[in-house]
Amino acid sequence: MTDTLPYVGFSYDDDNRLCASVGPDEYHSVAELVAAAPFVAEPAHILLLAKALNHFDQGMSYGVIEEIAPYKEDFLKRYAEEEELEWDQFNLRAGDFELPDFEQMAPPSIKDGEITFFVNHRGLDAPYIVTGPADGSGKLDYSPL
Amino acid sequence: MAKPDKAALKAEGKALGDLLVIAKKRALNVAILEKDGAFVVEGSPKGNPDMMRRAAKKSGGGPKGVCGIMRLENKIAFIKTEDEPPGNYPKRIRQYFMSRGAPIKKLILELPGGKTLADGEEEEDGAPVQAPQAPGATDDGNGTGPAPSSDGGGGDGLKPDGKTGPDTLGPVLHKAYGVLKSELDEKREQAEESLKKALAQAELGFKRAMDSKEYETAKAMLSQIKKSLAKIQPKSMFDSLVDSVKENVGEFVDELSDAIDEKVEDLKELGEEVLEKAEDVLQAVGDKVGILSEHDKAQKEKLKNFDLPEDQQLSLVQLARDNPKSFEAALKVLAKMEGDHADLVPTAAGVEAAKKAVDDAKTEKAALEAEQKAIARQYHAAKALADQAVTDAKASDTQYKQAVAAMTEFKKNLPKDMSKLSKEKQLELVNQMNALINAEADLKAKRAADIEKVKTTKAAQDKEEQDWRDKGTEIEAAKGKIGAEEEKVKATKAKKDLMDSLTTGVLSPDGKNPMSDADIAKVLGAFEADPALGQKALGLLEKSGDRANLADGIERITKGMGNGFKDKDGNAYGDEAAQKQYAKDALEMGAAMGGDYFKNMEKFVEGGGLNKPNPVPLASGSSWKKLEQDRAKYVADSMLDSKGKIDTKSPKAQEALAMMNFHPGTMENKTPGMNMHFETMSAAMDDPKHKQKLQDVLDGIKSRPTSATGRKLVARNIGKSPGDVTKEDVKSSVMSAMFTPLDQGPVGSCFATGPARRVVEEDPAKAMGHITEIAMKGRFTTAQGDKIKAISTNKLPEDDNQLMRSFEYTVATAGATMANSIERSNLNYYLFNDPDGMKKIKTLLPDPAKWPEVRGKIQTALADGLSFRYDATSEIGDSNDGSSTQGNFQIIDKSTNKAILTKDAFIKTITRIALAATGEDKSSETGVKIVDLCKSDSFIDAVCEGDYKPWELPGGGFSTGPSKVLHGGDPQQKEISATNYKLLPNGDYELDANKNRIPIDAPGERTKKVVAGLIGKFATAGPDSEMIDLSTSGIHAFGGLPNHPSLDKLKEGGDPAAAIEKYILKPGEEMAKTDLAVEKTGLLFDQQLDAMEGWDLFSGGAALLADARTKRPTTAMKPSELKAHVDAATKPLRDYMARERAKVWKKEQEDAGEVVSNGALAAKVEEWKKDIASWSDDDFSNNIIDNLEPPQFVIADTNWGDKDGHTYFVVIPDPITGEAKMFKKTEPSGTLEALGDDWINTEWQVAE
Repeated sequence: MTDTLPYVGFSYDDDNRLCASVGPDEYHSVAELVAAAPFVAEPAHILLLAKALNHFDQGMSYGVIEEIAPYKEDFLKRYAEEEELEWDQFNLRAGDFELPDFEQMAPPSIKDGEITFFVNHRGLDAPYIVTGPADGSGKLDYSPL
Repeated sequence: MAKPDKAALKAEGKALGDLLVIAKKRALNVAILEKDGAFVVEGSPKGNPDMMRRAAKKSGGGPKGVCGIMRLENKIAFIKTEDEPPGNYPKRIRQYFMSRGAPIKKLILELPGGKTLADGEEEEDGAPVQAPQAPGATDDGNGTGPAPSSDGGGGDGLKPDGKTGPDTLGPVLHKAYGVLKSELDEKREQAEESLKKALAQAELGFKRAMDSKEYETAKAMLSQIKKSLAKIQPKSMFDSLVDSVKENVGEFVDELSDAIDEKVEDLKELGEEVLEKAEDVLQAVGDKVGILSEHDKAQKEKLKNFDLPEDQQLSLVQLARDNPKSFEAALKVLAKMEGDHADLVPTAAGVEAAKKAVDDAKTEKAALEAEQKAIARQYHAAKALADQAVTDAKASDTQYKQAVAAMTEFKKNLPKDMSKLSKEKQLELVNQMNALINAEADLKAKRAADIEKVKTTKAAQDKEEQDWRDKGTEIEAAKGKIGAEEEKVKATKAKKDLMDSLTTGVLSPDGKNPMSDADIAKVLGAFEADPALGQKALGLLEKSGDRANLADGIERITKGMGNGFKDKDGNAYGDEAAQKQYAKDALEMGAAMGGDYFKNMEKFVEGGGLNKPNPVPLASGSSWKKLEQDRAKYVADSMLDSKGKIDTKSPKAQEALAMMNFHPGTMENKTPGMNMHFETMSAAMDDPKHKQKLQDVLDGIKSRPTSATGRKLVARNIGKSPGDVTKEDVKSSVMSAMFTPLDQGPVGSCFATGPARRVVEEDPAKAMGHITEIAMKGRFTTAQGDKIKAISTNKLPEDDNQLMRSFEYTVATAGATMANSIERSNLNYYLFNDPDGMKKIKTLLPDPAKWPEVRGKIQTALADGLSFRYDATSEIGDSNDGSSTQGNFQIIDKSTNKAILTKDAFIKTITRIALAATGEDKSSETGVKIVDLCKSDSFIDAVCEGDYKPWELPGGGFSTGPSKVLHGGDPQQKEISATNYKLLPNGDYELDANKNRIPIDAPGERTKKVVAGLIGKFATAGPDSEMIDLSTSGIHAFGGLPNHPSLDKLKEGGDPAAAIEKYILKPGEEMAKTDLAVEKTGLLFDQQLDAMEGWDLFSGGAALLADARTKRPTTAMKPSELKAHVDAATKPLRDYMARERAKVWKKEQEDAGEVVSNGALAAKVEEWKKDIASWSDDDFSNNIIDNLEPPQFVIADTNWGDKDGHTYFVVIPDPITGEAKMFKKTEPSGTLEALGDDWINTEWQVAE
């Protein structure tokens, strides 16, 4: 059914405000988006909800990890290359940290109104776990994995 | 004959030396009896010679020998004896003494009836033996006496008639010149041209004569100067002369009388009134020095046996007048030194002579070793002959035995009845038998000869072996002599240091902060107890900012050493050597720690602490870093009670600090830098301002770490496996991190260390909170609430405190992440802000309603496809002042992993992303429009708003990141002092022919401006501000110390420029224009060369250094003149070192397979010359600043430090130029290192 859904975009609008778009229409909060496009809040489209929550909380700083396996594979490859390199404040590397606990990683989920999903920190290229109210009513918690 | 072993020889030599010391002072009963070809000697000032004879016999002495009363005068031993020993006895006995390292120049036996028997060249020359000769005229030329001084006179500068020799006349004349110099400078311009010329010629003549040590000529020139001066303005000159003579008279010596007489003659010409004044002057001179007072003479008389040059004696006479207590203490020290080692001349020449004696002894030993090697070769040749003889003899024996056997066989086979044989057969047998008999006889004779040959060759072999052993004995004796001479070098150096300190150094009244009579006496007490302790004390006093406290400590330590550092129960610490070592170690630590260190040390000693087992971790088998961590943990654990509460006052905590500060075991590996941090941190933990907050943080640790990162960091800190880490381990680790000085790590970040140090200084509980979060959760939360994973153990130096170092690195990473994020936002903003930028694509789309979707795709592609990396080495324009600054972010195209550094590269990347987001091909209608848009000028202009260019992002931003994540706010780098380099109109640096930037202001002026800027900025900081974030663009970030007490004066009146003028430049100017007295120039010269002696001088450096020492100044000089003199004197040595170091480099390169051209080698030599010159300059600065004690102003904390101390930036008036100069100063050692010009010339910034 997803191929019939309208495309939901996430960006800074022309006035440099965070926004989501469905077709030509723009929304400036999760609530606005869900009101206009209720499918975003449907369990089947939880990834879309995660993206919306992430975008309105952090802008473009993090990207929601859509597929865990390739992300993990790519990460481990980089980690292996970087692990032996000396720490350098000018070159941020995933290999500067302990290996993330990939066992924790799972598709987005909601339990008792709390959503859990995983994002890539675009500055560090490292995974974070995100938790918080699934309805966008509060700040999300971003913790490194 | 059994040969004494090395130890026995050494002991024998020491015993003989001790006897000579006694014999020098008083009559010594002595018996010298033959024993195994050598002698056995017994001596004592008590009893009588017969008692000594009996004692010597008990020690194995034979009936032959000499007994009598011995005395030693000028190294000539006299023995008054009733015996009449053989004529070769004086020589044999003297050689025996010499071979044991107890030198006597000559031995004279005073026999019954007034006859004498002597050894030595005089005897061989047939010269009569006389009573002891006058001092300084006794070198018998046999090489065993003291080396002659350079002027050919006695080592103490006295001529045989007792008058002052050239060595002391030089300084005297210089002082006389000094008297006239100020008058000369003042009046020169008033003179007529002809007189001016005459003055210049006379002055030049004087200087040349002094340089070439032609003192009579110099004296005449001086007289000429005085006469010429008198002709300018006689009366004024006279008054000035009177004053200057009065001022300087205290330092004159008898020989100045001649010069004074000349003055009087000059003055007589000026009339009766003037003559009266002249007589007044003479009276003053006579009272003080021209004719020493009876009291002075009496004091001087006390110095006669201490081998002091005349000028040093007069300085001590002056000391007796000014500081009688110090004088008496000095007498005791000198007497003690004389008792330990006689005839030490405490001058540079004396030290060199002592060193030469070591070299001579080494040469002698080398010659003996060469001889022994030759003997060894002869021995092996003799042995080969002996072995061959044995082989030959064995062969002869075998042949002989075969002949005997043949005869026996022949006889056995003879027919029983020969008569039955034919005549012919009988004859044949008889002939055979005769042949056998003859052969047997021949072989017997040969065997006998061969056996005899064995005997003779073996005897030859034995002789060579014995010779070899004898030579070995001589070598051992030579080694003993080397040791004895080396001890003399040390003793001479100690004596020289003492005299230098008393005459012109830290114990003299010359310094800016002269020590009190009582304090000087305390220091001299240390010298008396142990010269090495005294020397250590002098070195520490030079650098000390609290000499009275240190003198008090010196006295306490000397007293402690005197009673063996006994505890209250009377238990001493170790043996004498251990006590001496402890005294030196404790003195060094106490000087570093200051405060009540010495009083507390006494309590520790009284409490028996010295003899307790040492609980403090040592460094055995581990690195210094590991030792630091072990000690931090030891102290940290002592501050925690069993319930995890911080208690810095508990007995356990107090004992731990005491063990760190005072235990001799700890001092084997001193860590004064750490100890000071321990004191500071324990005080902070006890401060009500922080105490509860710190405890709250610690109480928040309620479980073992919840993260793998935290477990690993703590585990490595405490040496456990991560799985075994407990809650208590976390508390211990966090505490030990707090007790580890936060200095910049080996690959660390100055941007992070400065702000992190600021947190520790200003709010230790906040720092502890961050460290605890790292330990528990493995992450750091920024002031903005972002969580950054802590840098893990695999990226941290293994021996560092893992939590502390992870804190530094993680703060740096968090700062970089924040800066990175800002750059990402900026790019998005600039791309989409202007209607002619990316927004323009909206107008190109077939369906503009699709724009929000396309925009989202573009922005997502930009976020995922680009990353940002900081390049610290790049140089980019600064929009603020048009200059270039170092370091900026660069955009990386992740598809190529290349930085976007050009407009074309930017257009290419943006076009690709835009096409992909719109789903258009570059050849499609819309695609072509997008391609055209991205390369259009209007698009580029739209994106490049203001100075923004995506391919050349602005500089800065990175360095303030750590401060932002720790302290919040939005600090920006602001200029305190703009760059000092000339700029071209396009903003690039103007370069000279060697491609170097061109400074605008000279270093002194530039430093003044930088300091004024800093002080102006500091004045705006609040009274509680411990640090502010400073940086030197492109070089370093560090912490300014706005409220350092040393800066109070520079903030006076709110006019930094005026304050700098008053407190830095004026004192500097005064120092720069003032002549250093000749004693001071000599001392500073010696100190400079002493420092160089510690360098790697390669094989030829020692000789060049010795040559440089011959250029010791003999005149007063301004600091800059002395510096030039030092540079000229040491140039051959420095150039040699540069060449040798370059050779080492060349070999390393070639060993690595590189080809080194002559040009590259020459360039390397020049590079080394610069480096070595900077070492030399730093040594000079350290020494002259220690001596002249200019004010020092501490402006910043560098972030650098280690177990030994911490480094600061300081500003000091430079005695050489008189200008302000910046140094790196390491505390507590006080060592200075000049800050390079690049530091001074770059832009100075503050983050605020």
